[in-house]
Amino acid sequence: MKNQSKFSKMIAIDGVVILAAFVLMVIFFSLKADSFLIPDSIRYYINEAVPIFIIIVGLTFVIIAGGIDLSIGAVLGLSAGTSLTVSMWGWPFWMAVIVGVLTGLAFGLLNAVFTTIFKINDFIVTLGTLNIAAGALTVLTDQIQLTGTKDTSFKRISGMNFLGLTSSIWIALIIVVVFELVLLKSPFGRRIFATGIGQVPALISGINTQRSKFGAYLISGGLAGLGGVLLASHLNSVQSGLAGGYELTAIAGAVLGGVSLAGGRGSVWRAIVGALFLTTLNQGLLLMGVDPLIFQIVTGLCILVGVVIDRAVYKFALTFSTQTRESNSQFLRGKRFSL
Amino acid sequence: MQDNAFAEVSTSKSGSQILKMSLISKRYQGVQALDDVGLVVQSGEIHALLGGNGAGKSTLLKILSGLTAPDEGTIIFQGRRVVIESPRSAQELGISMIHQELSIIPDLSVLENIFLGQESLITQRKSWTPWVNRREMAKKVRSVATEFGITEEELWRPAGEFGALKKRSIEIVKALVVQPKILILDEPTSGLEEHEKELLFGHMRSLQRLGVALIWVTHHLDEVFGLADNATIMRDGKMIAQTSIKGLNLGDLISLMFGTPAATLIEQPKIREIARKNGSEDRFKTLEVTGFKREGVLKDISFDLWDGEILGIAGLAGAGRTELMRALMGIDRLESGSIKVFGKIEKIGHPEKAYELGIAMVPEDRKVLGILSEFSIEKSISISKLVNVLKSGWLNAKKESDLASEFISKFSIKTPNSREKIRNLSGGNQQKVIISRCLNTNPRILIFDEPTQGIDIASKVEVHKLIRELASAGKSVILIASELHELIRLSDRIIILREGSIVGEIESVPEKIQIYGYEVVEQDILHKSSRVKV
Amino acid sequence: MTINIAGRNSSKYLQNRILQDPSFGIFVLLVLAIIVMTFLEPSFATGRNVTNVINAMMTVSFLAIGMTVVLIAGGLDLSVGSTMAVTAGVAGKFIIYGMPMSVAFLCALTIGVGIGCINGLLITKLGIPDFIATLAMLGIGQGVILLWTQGVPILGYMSGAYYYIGGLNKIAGPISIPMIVVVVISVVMTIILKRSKFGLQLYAVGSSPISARNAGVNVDAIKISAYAISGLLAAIAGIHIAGRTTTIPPLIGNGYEISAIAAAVIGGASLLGGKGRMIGALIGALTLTLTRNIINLVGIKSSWQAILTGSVLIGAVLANRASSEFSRKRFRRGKT
Repeated sequence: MKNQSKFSKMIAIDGVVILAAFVLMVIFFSLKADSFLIPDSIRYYINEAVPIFIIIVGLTFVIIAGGIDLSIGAVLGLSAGTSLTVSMWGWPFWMAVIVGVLTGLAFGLLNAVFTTIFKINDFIVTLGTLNIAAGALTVLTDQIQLTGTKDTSFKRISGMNFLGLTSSIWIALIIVVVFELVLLKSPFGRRIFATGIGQVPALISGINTQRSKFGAYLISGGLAGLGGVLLASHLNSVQSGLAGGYELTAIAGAVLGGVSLAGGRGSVWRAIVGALFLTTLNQGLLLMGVDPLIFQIVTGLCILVGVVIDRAVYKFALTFSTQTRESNSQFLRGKRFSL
Repeated sequence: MQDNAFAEVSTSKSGSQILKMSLISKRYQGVQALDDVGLVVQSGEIHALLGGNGAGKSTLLKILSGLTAPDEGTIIFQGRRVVIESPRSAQELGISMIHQELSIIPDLSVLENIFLGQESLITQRKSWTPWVNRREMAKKVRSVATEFGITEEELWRPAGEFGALKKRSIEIVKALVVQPKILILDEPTSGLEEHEKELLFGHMRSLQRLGVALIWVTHHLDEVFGLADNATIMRDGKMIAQTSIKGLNLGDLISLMFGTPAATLIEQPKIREIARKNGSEDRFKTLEVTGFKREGVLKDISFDLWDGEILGIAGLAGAGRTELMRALMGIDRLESGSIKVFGKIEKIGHPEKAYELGIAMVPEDRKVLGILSEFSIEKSISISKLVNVLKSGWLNAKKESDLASEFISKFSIKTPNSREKIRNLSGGNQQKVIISRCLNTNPRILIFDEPTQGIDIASKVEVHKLIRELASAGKSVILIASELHELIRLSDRIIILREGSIVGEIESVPEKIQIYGYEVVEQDILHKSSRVKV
Repeated sequence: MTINIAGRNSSKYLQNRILQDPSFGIFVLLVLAIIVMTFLEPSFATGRNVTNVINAMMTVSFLAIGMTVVLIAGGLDLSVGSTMAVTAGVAGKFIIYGMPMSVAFLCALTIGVGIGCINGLLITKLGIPDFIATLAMLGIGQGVILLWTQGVPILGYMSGAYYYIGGLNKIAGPISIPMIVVVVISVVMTIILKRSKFGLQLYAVGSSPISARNAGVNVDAIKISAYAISGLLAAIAGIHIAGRTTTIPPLIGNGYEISAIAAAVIGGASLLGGKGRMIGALIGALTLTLTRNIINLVGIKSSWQAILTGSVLIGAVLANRASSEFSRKRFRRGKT
């Protein structure tokens, strides 16, 4: 009995399950694929995945606040397009960065306004802005061939080398650390958690829940913009459809890492572990000669598995149960804070 | 096929015992909701089920209508022991329930609402057919519908168009479609105007004539007389009495319902010795509410609140007590009304603003509206004012745990440590954490909405003591409590709400109790809040 | 859902019904747009353009009909686009493998229904929120078709008969098979929605699942059926679009979920459930297709389409909410 309770306590520690799964997977792949543990190959695939790591940070904020952001992939693609465009026009690299981030922020603002002020369903709004951003990139690439900038400093944003790692990876690391701090140690982050746990109790505790959500969407948009800049700098070319479907990978990563789609639970590093798990799985399968196209199926399945595990382990049925939702919506019905 | 679907209803003879529930017990997460409760209903009678909030009526009815299962006890229906697994099986037995919240689907027509889930009733001979025949439905239900005030034409209109009375009538007709032997009516008069209630009572008599036994839950005791045959009275999850209404008066019912049980008598808060007079020189108004109005909920409410007083708000369920508090906190938008806080006109558009002004609230329904279930005790307390635990702009773990420890020892919150999640605490301790959350903002006005709902007796006493202490320390307290003895004994002053208006005010309650005695004050409040002229 | 009972057919009544119809506003806008375009753009009212618009509208119509059913039940299906792509792939590939066309179609339809059922089961039995379950299914479907085709468009399945099914060959004048199918399906679905137990319960489940359950409705079964219908219609759309485009690029379904939702919402379906009509879905599909056609004709590049659809989606949801709030107020005032 005692052992059992110890075991269940172990399981209940945040992130233990996904970390264990990650370690097991690494061991498995290193046995099965010779080239798996070569440092260069690790560096390479991590570097490729940097945009995912960056958008998953913003997505984590939104999900913890009780929302969802489907537009991040498309916004990332568009931001890559805008920053590369201005760089090709000859603007200095820092202007390109600003333009890219602003593009993302603009979409973050759009999402925030429609979800928190007009109170339209998060999925619908961000699905709409996904289409708008993806469409805007198509229009942009129709106008200009985004085949590359001559500005080497723009390329250097992602390509510099410090202590054996690219600047892309360093930037991602800094962002992860900074935003984890913001999430766990700042009043804003704490309010985000409270908002996601329960809009009504948070409201009654004196929290402006809409403002917290607003902030989360802005962060998500801004980080997608930054991710776009890094991707553009890395690829030095942008086509229509770039980064399409990244949102699925990011959601799957977050969910696998234990960021609960019911809101109010999760952390940045756990989402990152989830993303790392997915990208490593992808790399491992690739090295084992599995068709890379299977990856999307795996991603979809991961979302389902993640949600089911979350429900089973943490019984988020508690927060998602019809009864609670009914009484919540009864509380908010016909009011200014309508759902 | 018969035109009238309800001809067969009145087969059972009036007077025979149709339902007997005995020794029913039910526990919810450690709280004894029902304790060896029994209920006996004769066929064709109107049986009133009475009791205050939390007396266990709704749990008993949930068991009877198949929404939940009892832990112990037996149900004998028409002489046969039955197990009611689901609403469906209750219906098949002949037990239907009309819920307090209208469960009409507004987008469907009246007719469709009536037959929803029972479509096969009119296609019995061809039960395989997937089609619904509305004309047949209308034909079937026409005469009964007319009897309950629904015209032929209205059957075809969307149910959402109609008011509360029509919706009740629709539900009654819907319940009758399955030819029930027992019909449960949970607060059927809530939301009805005066003259509408009379119509509804007429409907209830017609139901009785049809031979249906009615189990009737109501808070309006005066309605019971002249309509109900028998009553079962419950209190604190126990059955207090099962009695015939004949020969009883309101006072008897009230003392049965609210009579203070010996076991809890010791725990009653002592009546305050001296009530300080409002308006004297050393007192000032903390809150002045003028003309609060919200469609259908609040009708022109004005009152003042003084420092250091406990203002009790009495009223039955649906009188607008909670709604008033929500308006104060800026959760609902008002149509009109203004508010002065410490003599200054303020606009409270959001709870955030209320907290800034020094108003804090302990909400009712702790599990849903109160606790942030995923938060630890530390986080639950600090969340209301994070500035208190910041160190150079960042949340400081030490400050947070110090803050929590302070409240944990002050209120003797029972927990292994301050990092325990709030959802793992007992109800009383959760409530203490929520009160700590409010006090963390150092509020000057505190609103307690049903602060002792669903917590154990020991914690109740502590909460009472705490409320007293806060008032003594000069804070203004607004208290809503359905348990009258709690409200009366704690408050300095009580205002009584009924249907969204203030219908009475009792100044210096402790004095009144000394002069006239507790009973008189209690009766006064009850009568005012339930529309009975004495 | 109310029915016009005998004896109320006075012209005044009819007039009121038309004026108060939820789709009346959008219908007037459509007519106005058509009139204006006819005068401004000579190539608009040509027979070729009209048949183009109608044929393009068919795909969205199928999906919008399915989406409306799901929306009425209070759900949402993000997987329709990818289900369409998968079933188009099944139809095309199976024909290439040498199966008779009818068998290939039957397989496609079965798979469509199967995907719908899986969606429904994930949502009702595992309790995964609608959006998440169907989003995951979208990803999985896309992955399957990409993996299967290796990213290469499917070619060489077209035959004489398939040109008719794709609507490229007409059977009489401007009438094509897909048009007939759309009409038949919407009529059948309208009858089912208005006249069957299932239809009644579908609206009830979407309006208020709790009340419906209290009334004894099997909520889970109704929801699963709704998703199955959506899957079936996505499969029909898949079979049709394979014929219309004559090749099946693996990403053929991308973005169609948005068009379907937008069309359904324009047609009066609500994301809150309990509302929606077949005629609305068709009007929505027509609006969407016509708008695209118009911006094409006035010389705006087709690359703007996605931006347009995304904006229309958000705009339609906003407008839908505004109008339902308006009618709720009217209800309250008309309280008896």
